Amino acid sequence: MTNINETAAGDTPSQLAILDPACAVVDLDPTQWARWYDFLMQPNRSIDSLYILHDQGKVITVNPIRARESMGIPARIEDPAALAADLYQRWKRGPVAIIERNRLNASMDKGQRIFTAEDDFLSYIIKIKEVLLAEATSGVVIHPHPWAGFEGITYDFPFKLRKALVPDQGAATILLAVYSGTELWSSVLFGFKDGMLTLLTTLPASGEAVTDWQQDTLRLIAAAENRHAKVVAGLFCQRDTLLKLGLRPENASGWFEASQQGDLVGFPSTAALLASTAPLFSQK
Amino acid sequence: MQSQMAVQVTSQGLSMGGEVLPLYSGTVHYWRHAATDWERLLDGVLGMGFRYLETYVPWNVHQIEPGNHDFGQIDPSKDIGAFLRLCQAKGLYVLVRPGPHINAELPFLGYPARVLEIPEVQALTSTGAPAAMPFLVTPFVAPSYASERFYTEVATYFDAVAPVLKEYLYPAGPIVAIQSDNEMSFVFRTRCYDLDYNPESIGLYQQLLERKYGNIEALNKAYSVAKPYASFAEVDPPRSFQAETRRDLPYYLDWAEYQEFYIEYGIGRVRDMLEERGLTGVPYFHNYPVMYASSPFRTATLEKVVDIAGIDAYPIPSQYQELKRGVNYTSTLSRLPFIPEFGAGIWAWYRPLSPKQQLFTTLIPFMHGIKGINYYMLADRDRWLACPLRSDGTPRDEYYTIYENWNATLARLEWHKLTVERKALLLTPRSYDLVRHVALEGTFAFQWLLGFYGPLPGELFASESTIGERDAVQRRMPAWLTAMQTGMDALGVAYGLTDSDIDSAKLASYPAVLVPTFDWLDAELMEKLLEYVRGGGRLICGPRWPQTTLEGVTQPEWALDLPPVAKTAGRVNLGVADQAGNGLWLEDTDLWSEVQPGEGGEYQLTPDSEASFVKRVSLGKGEIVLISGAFPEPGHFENPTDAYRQWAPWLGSLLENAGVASLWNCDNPAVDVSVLSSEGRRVVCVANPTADKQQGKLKISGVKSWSYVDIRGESSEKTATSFPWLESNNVPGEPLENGELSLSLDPWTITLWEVK
Repeated sequence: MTNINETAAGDTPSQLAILDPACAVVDLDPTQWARWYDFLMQPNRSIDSLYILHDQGKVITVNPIRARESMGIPARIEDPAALAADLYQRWKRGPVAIIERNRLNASMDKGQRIFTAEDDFLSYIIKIKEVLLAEATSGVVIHPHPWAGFEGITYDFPFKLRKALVPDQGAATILLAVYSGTELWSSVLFGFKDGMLTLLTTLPASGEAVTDWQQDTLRLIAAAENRHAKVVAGLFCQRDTLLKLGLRPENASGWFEASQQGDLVGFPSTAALLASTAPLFSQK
Repeated sequence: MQSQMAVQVTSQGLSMGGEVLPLYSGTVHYWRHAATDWERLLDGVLGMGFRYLETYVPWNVHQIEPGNHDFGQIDPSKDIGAFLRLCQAKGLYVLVRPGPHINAELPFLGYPARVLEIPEVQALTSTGAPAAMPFLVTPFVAPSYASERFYTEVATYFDAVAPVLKEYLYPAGPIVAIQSDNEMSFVFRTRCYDLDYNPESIGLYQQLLERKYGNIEALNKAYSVAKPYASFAEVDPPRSFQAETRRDLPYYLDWAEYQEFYIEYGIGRVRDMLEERGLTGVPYFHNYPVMYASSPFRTATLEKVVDIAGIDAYPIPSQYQELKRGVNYTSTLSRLPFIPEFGAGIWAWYRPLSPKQQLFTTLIPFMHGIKGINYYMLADRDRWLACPLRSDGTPRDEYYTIYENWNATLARLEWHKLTVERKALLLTPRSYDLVRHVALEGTFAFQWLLGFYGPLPGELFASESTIGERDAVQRRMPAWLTAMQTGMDALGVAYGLTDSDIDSAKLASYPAVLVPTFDWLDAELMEKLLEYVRGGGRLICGPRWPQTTLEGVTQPEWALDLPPVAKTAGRVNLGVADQAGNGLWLEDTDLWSEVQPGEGGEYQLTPDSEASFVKRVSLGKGEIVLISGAFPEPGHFENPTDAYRQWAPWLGSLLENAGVASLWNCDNPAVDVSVLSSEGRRVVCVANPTADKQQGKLKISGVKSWSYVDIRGESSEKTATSFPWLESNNVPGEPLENGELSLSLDPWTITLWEVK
């Protein structure tokens, strides 16, 4: 097992940070990890995006260059949001970005000036997200916008979520696992210590044949507690359900139905998890 | 310098005690494993056939507080001395990388956080903002390698670590090479107007200008400024690209040259500091964090600062062409083409490669001329996964067997003695590459944060301005290079990629050199090319013949005996467009003879006769072949490769005339080939760099017999158990009686053949 007694000299955790600077991301199973990656990242990847760079409406460059003529891109842009939506419908290959270079420069500059030494990665990224979303309708227009689903989530949201699930003192574990039938498809363990995320890992599948996946979740919980600390929240579901519903807020009712059908299981109970986190999601 | 060292760099590896040992290495981070696991880890490294091991020696891991360090006195896993002794006892040579930059997915990339918080240490953007880096696992402000305070802080660590490492230098110990800093690159922010505008950096820039121009009058003349500078201290670097004419360019190009200098300065400074503390007698190396080392990276000059200038590569299979290009380029310029970090496993925020993908990517650099490699990493550890060894040293069989079998194959074939056969060179003028670097429409720090869609394309920010010239060099040069490269690939011509820094003797060894040229060129390269032609070389160039230097000075001796242009055509069609619109054309073309336009006023040419856009001029014993039309940019085509392949018939004729024939011929254009040889031995690498199965017939010039090299080894027992994940265990080709090879290649595969 990887040695995780690593410390970063001179670090001062922020009051709002949850990602420990020395958070260990260790002993990851390649197959399980690849599945998480594909689930989270693949829908957002595109090499066929259409980009327009302009200066206060005057188009400077278009990429790919052939689109300037084939898509009938005007020499002057009056309403970038409307144009992006229109081009997206016609381009059909991926997102459309219409970028005003001065606003991009300014937002990038602001994105650096808002950094403080107290920021952890999560809080800093959320701050940058807010800067970029402020430009999303006219300055740095991306259609569809990759950050749109995160609108309203403030930099202290991860902190609040952690507060709702994990006791401030001592060590605790949050566990997620996905099954394909009775086979463990992927898992992830979040280990917390004194309020900070200190460990991220996967858990191995059972060496023996599994006949009941819900029963196997108890084995996983025991393994997680053996690896790190008491599991304070667990969420387990079937792969098909995850792939169908994704993490989109608009599918909340679908997830509710899945829990009714036994395709989603919470620990200590689904109801308890919802009770502790639902207020946060409703107010963001 | 080299002759004084106990360890020598050769073109085939490192030489210790007169014996050359190929540089095939892998990384294990001692501090990230329990000391009790080290022996098992090293046995795993040896079991895969490695003789070298590489490790960082990180500042913020060993430092407890300034001036107080733990080298095992407190934590046994930090006992670098014990680790090195164990390596030596096991017979492993060691490459060490003491930073100060480490990365290694460590908090603050290995720098102590307190150092990065010192304002005078921080790199600044063109607007004066501290260069904040949204990095996992900790965001931070990048340091300035022009800051004296930074080096003062670094010295506190080097004072502590150098005595520890000195004890283990070869021949007394296992350390045979040292890396000076790591991936020096303004912490991955190499856009021209992004960094580093720290006051000390600007001072360094001004010092460089003074060294270059000698006095301020010379600079004022070069810049042709309306209001002359009174001193170098007044010269503020450019903060965006505002050039309107060619006369404005020197100001911007000097900043680009400074950025190259800055990188070499930092690397040299760190090397000097380590040498001053006794770490001498072994080679120093460095790793550019890119596969293709264009500006602000410069391979040849960095090898005056360190002994080996390498590139890093973490390719996925679809990056085959990119890696091929970078490796090829490095192999023509470096004294030992080396990849100090080559992806084995992957960092935790990326998708791990499957064993099959890992095998494919591992073979690419060897196919195209790399001679040294360090696999990063051999053992899983914090924030890294999918390695051949688990973190406790036990083998992860599906990956372990890749390195075990491939190292055995390299040894069996004596791969380090093989050289890629090449007949032509494709040369990038560095002055044009600098123009590409400076002619940007913005600064754009960490643009990937715009979303998860991947980084913004570089072409979006490449200015379309011609600054009053005929061509926008920054856009037309890459198109020209891509067209020539694709054409030679389609023809089966073996070529090398290089730049202006290649020495004249090496240049003269190639029958043909292809160079993009525009209305101006830097005098040093022009003289080198003219000398090459006078000596008997064939220079294929275009779209213009340079008449002046960058500064606009006309050079009468460069003049060629060219007839008047008969007509300039906006578009000359070379190919016939397919359904996707992939027909190739030339833009803005000078025609040397009258050509009648077809219907619609467009010119349509066929390759069956000497084209009217090609002019040949004899010079000395050689010849200049000018292709007087510009190639359209790749973005004009749905499938640029298909479009540029239509250039092959014309190019084939020009190269044949220059004495460069096709080395191979394959009826499937998706298949790629390289031929390596040594003292009469020849090995052919055949790649299928696509996601589909490929078939075809391959003929290699002079080859009559083919012997398949099964990298799983010759033992049937091993063959049966290695690579169970391969889709097919069949031999991927069948030699035919006529000397051809009938191919049947699985997706993402490289196969080897010994041929006669």
